[in-house]
Amino acid sequence: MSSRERWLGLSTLVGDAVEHASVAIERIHMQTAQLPFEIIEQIPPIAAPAHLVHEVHDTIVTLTYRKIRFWNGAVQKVVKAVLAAEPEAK
Amino acid sequence: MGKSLETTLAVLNGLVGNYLARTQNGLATQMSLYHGEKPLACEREALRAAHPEARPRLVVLVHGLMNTEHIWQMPDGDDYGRLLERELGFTACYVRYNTGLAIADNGASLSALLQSLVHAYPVAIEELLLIGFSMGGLVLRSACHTAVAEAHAWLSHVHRILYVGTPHLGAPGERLGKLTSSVLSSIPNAYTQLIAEIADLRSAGIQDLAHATLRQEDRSIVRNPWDLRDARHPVPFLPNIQHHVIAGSLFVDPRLAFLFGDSVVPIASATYKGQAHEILPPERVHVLPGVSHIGLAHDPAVYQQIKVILEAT
Repeated sequence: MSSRERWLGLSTLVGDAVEHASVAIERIHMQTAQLPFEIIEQIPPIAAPAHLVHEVHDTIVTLTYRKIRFWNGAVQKVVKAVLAAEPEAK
Repeated sequence: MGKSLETTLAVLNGLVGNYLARTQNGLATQMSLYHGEKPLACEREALRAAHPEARPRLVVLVHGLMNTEHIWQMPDGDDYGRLLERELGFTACYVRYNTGLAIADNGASLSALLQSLVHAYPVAIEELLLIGFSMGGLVLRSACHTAVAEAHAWLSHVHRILYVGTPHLGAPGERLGKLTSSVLSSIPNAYTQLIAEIADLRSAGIQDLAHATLRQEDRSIVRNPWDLRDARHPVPFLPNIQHHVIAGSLFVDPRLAFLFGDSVVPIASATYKGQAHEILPPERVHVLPGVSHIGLAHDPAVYQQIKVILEAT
């Protein structure tokens, strides 16, 4: 197995780990925030603004984790391109 | 590549090797013979170059989970293979493989590898001696099963197999792991479920150790995670081959020794004890006190036991 294949393998493994971890942590983030929002949204005077805050929160969380995955994918592509351009070293 | 890098990759392969193989990751180890830290092709010229004095008696050593062939190395640099070459006239070949793959997959690959080896070996083979450490012993048994099913000729050269610290009836540590994972995932909490998900990422090879699963079809058997007793799997030792088991024991108290053995594999599992129809004769069961699980792969006392077995049979 060449050194390049190993570096590429390591990069892919780290990329996969970031991808899967971000999905899992996003899920936990949403589930954890869900319960307090549900409780607050039951209180009539603040139900409407609480619902709005809930929507904003979920949107920001989703966008943040999507951005992490986007940049992770971009870094993977750059690493692959750099390794492909490097001369082979056993 | 340095020995520590190879060891790190072996651990990584043991942990998530089936994932690495499935995603065609360059870190996945391919099964091969290894000679002088490098893969050795099963071709006549390559074998002749690696073993210019190839002898008719061949010993193949198969390491265990998260190991490489370095596990056989004793503190003085010798290993069982080299000692067998010097003292009993064998030629030693070392296998390296991805220990995270299912044992059945590694067994099938090993059977194919041994088939190539006996075809390409530069002199006529008198005996093919197999030595497996820990998971390596199960891979050997699985390879034998494949060889019978596919009528591979290499099996006819095998007269003796030595299993060193092999969990023939499974490893209780992994059965406990399965139970823990099952309990955590049943709790309706995002954090415990995440921990269970992470635990379940462990490789197919590790999971197969729970019940010593040797065949692909046995992997689909649904088992109760609360059943922590030894498994009763349906793959017997092949007849017409002398099977010798060597177990380690770190405990003086016989009850503790029976339960915990070498600290990883209980003596009952390492000695295949408890299967009424299949208990090995006492002369083929060797329990060495004071030897830990990892120590079994490179302990002078274990080598002496191997030598005694080989000289007596």
